[in-house]
Amino acid sequence: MTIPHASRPRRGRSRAMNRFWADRAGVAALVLLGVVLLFGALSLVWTPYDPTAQSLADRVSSPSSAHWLGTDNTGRDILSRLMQATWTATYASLLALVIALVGGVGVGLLAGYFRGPVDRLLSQLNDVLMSLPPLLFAVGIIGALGPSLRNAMIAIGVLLIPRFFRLTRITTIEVMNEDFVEAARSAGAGAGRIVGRHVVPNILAPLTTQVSFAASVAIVGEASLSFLGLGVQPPTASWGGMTKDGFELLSENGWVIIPPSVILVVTILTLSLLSDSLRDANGR
Amino acid sequence: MGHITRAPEPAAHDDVTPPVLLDVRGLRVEVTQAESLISLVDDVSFTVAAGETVGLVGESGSGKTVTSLAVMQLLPRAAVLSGSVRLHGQELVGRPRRELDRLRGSQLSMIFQEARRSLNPVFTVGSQISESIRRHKGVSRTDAWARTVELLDLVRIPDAGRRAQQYPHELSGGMCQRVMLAMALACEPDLLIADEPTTALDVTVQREVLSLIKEAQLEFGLGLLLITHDLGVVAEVCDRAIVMYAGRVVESAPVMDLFDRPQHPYTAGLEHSMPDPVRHASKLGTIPGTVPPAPDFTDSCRFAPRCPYELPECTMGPIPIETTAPLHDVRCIRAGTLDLSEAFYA
Repeated sequence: MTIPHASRPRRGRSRAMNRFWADRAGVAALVLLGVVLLFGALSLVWTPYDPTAQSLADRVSSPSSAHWLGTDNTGRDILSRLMQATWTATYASLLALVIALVGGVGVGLLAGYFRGPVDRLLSQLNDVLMSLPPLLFAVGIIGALGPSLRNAMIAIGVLLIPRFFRLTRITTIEVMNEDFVEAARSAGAGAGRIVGRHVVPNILAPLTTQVSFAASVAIVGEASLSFLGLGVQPPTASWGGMTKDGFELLSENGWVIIPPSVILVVTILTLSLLSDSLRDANGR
Repeated sequence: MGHITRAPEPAAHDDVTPPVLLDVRGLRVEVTQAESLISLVDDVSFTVAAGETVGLVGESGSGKTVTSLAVMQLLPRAAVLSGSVRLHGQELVGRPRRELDRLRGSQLSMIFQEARRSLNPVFTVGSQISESIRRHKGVSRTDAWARTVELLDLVRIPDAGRRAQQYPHELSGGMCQRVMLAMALACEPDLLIADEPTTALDVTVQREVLSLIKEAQLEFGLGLLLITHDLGVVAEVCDRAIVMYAGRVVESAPVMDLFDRPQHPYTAGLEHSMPDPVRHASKLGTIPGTVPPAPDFTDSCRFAPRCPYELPECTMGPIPIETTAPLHDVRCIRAGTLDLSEAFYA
């Protein structure tokens, strides 16, 4: 018996990855999203002005060489605030996503793996969660815990659980019925191994699509709640809060509302494009 | 594969009987349906010795697969299993799951009909084999990989080093079945259960895979339980065969005996429904009717409605399985009194 030259486990780009990289819209969306993220991350180390420093002399101005994106009601630099708000949105959507993923995927795996009474109970609870009116539920949670970014994102994260639960549960059931799971069992794989090695890798593709979509929902949710004053508290900048500042100034100056609205729309559009091409690349 | 060709009879039961590896006694599997218990398989007893090949034969719905899953202790939770399954004399029924997980793969292995579907599509075949090796043997990643390539070479996969890095969809069906075999052999099991391993393959590939399984059996000295509905395969590779019908064993005998002197009308019918170029050029026997569904299983002879030799006594009470010749067991009250050579030729 000859042992062929040393070979290693293959680590390469999968077909789905190749398909994704071939999709121009998807790659453009990814690049744009990266730019937005960098823009926000930059605020951690540098902003043109202090985003919370007021200067009543420079109140409500349109773009100028000193303030590229103008100033708001209390003379704060909009560009600096936009950078800070971008970071806020990033952090907020990540927080909501983590809650939604841990809750939805974790519980969905349990339900899909064990089926039977466990599945029935969890599915019913999930249905209850789905039947709640989202905005009222969010307002309720914030009412109970107090208005803050963290509480707003807990509310949104919980509201996002059902979509992950359903997706995870059904794809898990699908994978559990595959022959290779039975083959793995017959080779002595226990529950942890089957879930970690066989179920999760096979449900990742639909999940990535859903994550990208849920991120946009989380951002819109955060913006809505901040617009209502239930999310990010002043003076910290957020897209929703800045939109509200601009909204109140509409009769005085039409510019202030534009930068936060544009970045919000562009980001949501980018995330939708990204989830579209992820879905195409994954073939579902 | 229709024509029966016998390999030289291995020394199975003339001098020293090899130790019994698998001993199944009074196996019964039941499921609840509409608040009543339905038995899928009952009173199934057989043994497999080390180095022996036992065929488990029957139509669809006869309980072959349920029996094999019961041996593996892989039945769904809803199924109720009773009776005894002993491996090396140790009872498997009722063992804690953790212990069973340890046994499966290391002492008991199984390969399935649809090899490609039995492989995880998102990992390379090599990584799946070495995963199994690392799990049961606790060796390093590099050693496991080397062993993987060695095993793929053993099952005659050309260019094993490169093939190991491919995904299941890049391999042919026969190749996938070899990979499954390599995976099943990875931890040198004592018993291999092959559930219709060649049914989904091209006839030309079937033979290769079968001879590979036989070779592996010789090399590792494993007991082989081969589940199939292809009597040609049984004739070719098995030492003994167990014929199942509607959840029960109806006949069990050494293969030569079974083919030359079948004693159960069902066995005879199965044999006559196989193309035999020597005896009957144009006539193919058929067994009219189908296997009854599990809820309709009776205590008396379940084959009676399809049997041309049915007597009133056949449906009156339970029919025990009896030994009519050395190593030859039959579940038929008319066993030995019938001339079955022309059974089922309409």
